[in-house]
Parts: sequence; structure tokens; C-alpha cells
Amino acid sequence: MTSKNKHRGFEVPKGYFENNKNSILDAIYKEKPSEESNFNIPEDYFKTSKKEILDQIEKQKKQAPVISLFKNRIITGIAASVLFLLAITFYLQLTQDTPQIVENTPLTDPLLNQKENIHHSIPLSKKDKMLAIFVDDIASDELINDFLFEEEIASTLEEDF
Amino acid sequence: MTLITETTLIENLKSPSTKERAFTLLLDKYQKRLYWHIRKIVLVHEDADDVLQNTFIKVYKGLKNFKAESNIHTWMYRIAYNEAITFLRKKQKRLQLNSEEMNTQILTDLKADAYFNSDDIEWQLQQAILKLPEKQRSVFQMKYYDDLKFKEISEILDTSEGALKASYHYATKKIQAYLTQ
Repeated sequence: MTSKNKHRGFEVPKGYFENNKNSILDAIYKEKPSEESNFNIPEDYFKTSKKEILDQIEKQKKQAPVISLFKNRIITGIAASVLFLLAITFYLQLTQDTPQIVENTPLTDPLLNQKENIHHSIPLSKKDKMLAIFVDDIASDELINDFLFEEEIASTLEEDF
Repeated sequence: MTLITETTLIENLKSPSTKERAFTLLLDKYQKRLYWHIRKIVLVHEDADDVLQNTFIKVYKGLKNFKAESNIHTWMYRIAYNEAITFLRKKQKRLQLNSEEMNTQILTDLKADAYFNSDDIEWQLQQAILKLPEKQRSVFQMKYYDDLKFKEISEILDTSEGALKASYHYATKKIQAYLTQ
């Protein structure tokens, strides 16, 4: 029986044997250990090493993580000290410079004059002055405007009645 | 391949410096023969492709333990045969089929295989072969398709030559009867 008759009906894809040879070699050399380069490994090394690695990971997972607070405390302390020094410096500059600026600035706007009068008419304690450093100027202006508006309404009502 | 060249080939396969080259030669020489041996057992090309690859991987891994008590090609045929039979058994188990249902499944898969031309004579022959018990089927396939000697088949199947000859005799009779009915 000829070889062709033996395989009658059965076919293979074109170029199968040529390509298959390479894929078999690829499959073998991809998974082979490095024994060909004369570096041997113990039998079943990868099986046992995999287990050991997984055991180690599991062991480490069980240990609670330790977070050092000491480092953070130092950073927070330094930041607080710097902030305090800046605040003190700013406060000292403000207490020394502000009256001069007010005196030298010509105030033509009656509303601004009124605001200034309020600033000077309300006696501020040292604590208030300290707190004033941290108050936003815009918020402060809004508060004064509201106060003046209420004053004006009150005076208008007094005049009417 | 003569005994001398086979001995040299085995030596080269066992030496780390010549192993890769010798294995490529082995692949060149036996790829087609083992493919057709496997294909006639599993029938579908895609399955044969998988089994062939596994066979050569096993051959490569088993080379260090190969003792030249038998011919290397007989040893490779034995690996290929075992791989093909194991493949079919696993498939049968996976699909939860009995032997008869499995034969029907194999024929269905073969008919759907793009690499099988449903030639009437070949189709009938495959049906007849699948009706044989496993041992008779294996002997018939190895003798009819692979032209192996009874001595070689006896090494592959680990059965006496006498028993194999009897099995082959019964197998041919059954196939003749099936084809002429």
C-alpha cells in the first residue's frame, strides 16, 4: 500500500509539518529548565519553590503592619513651629505698620471713613487682635457692611417713628 | 536508521552540548510518522496536533531516562500511543460517555473535521475500525497504517507476539465482514 493510499481521506493544513516542527521546539525549549547551559536545578525545584514563596507571602500577610509615628511627629512639630514663628512675625509687623498706613491714606469715601471709625471706635482686646490676623479681609468687609446696613435701617426707623 | 547511527543519535541526545541539534534531527525524522500514528487513533487533526506536541515534550523529558534496551522509534511510538489513548479516555470522561457513545462522538468529530474528506470507502473503514475492541483496533492500525512489525507492536503494547497475531487475524476478519455486508 502506498503512503498516499494509507492516508486516503485524511489531510493536514498546508505547510503543517514545517511549521509544527518549530512550534514543538518552541514548546519544549520554553518550558525546559536551564540544564542545557550546564546550570542544573534540583528535581521538582519549581514545584517546591512555588509552595515556599506562597507560604512566605501568607506568613507575611498574617503579621500586622507596623507604622512608625515618630517620623510624622517630628515633621508635624517642625511645621507647627514654623507656622507659629510666621504668625508672630506677621502679627508684629501688622501692629507696627497698620496705624501709619491708615494715617497716610487720604480717605475720601464716606463709607470707608465710617468703616475706619468703627475700627477705631470698637476697643479690641489683645486676643481679638491676635484672632484678627487669621480673619479674611473680604469676610471682614462683608461683616462691617452688614453691620452698617443694619445701623442705617435702625436710624431710618428711628427717624420715621 | 541503522543501529550505529541510532546509537550515535542517542549519545548526542544525552550530551548537553549536542542535545538540541540531535533532538531537531529526531523531530525531522519522526514527526510525520508519529503524527499519522496518532491521527489514526484520535482521527481529528486538531486533537492529533495536541497529542503530537505532548508526545515530543514527553520524549524530550524522558531522554535522560531512556535506556537503549529498545529502539528509540519503538520507544517513541509507545509514548505516542499512550498519549493518544490517554487523550481519548480523558475526552470520554469529560463528555461523560460510554464506549459506544464515544465511538459515535469520534465519528461525528471526524465528519466535522475540515481536514477529512469523507471518502465513502475510508469512511466505512473508519466505522469498521471503531467497532473493534481496543487491542484489536490498535494492532490493526499499527500493522495496516504504520507497517510496524509484530515484534515492535509487542514492545509498544506490551503484549506477546502470538496474542497480537491472533488479534490482528480477528480484526481483519471483522473488518472484511463489515465492509462486505
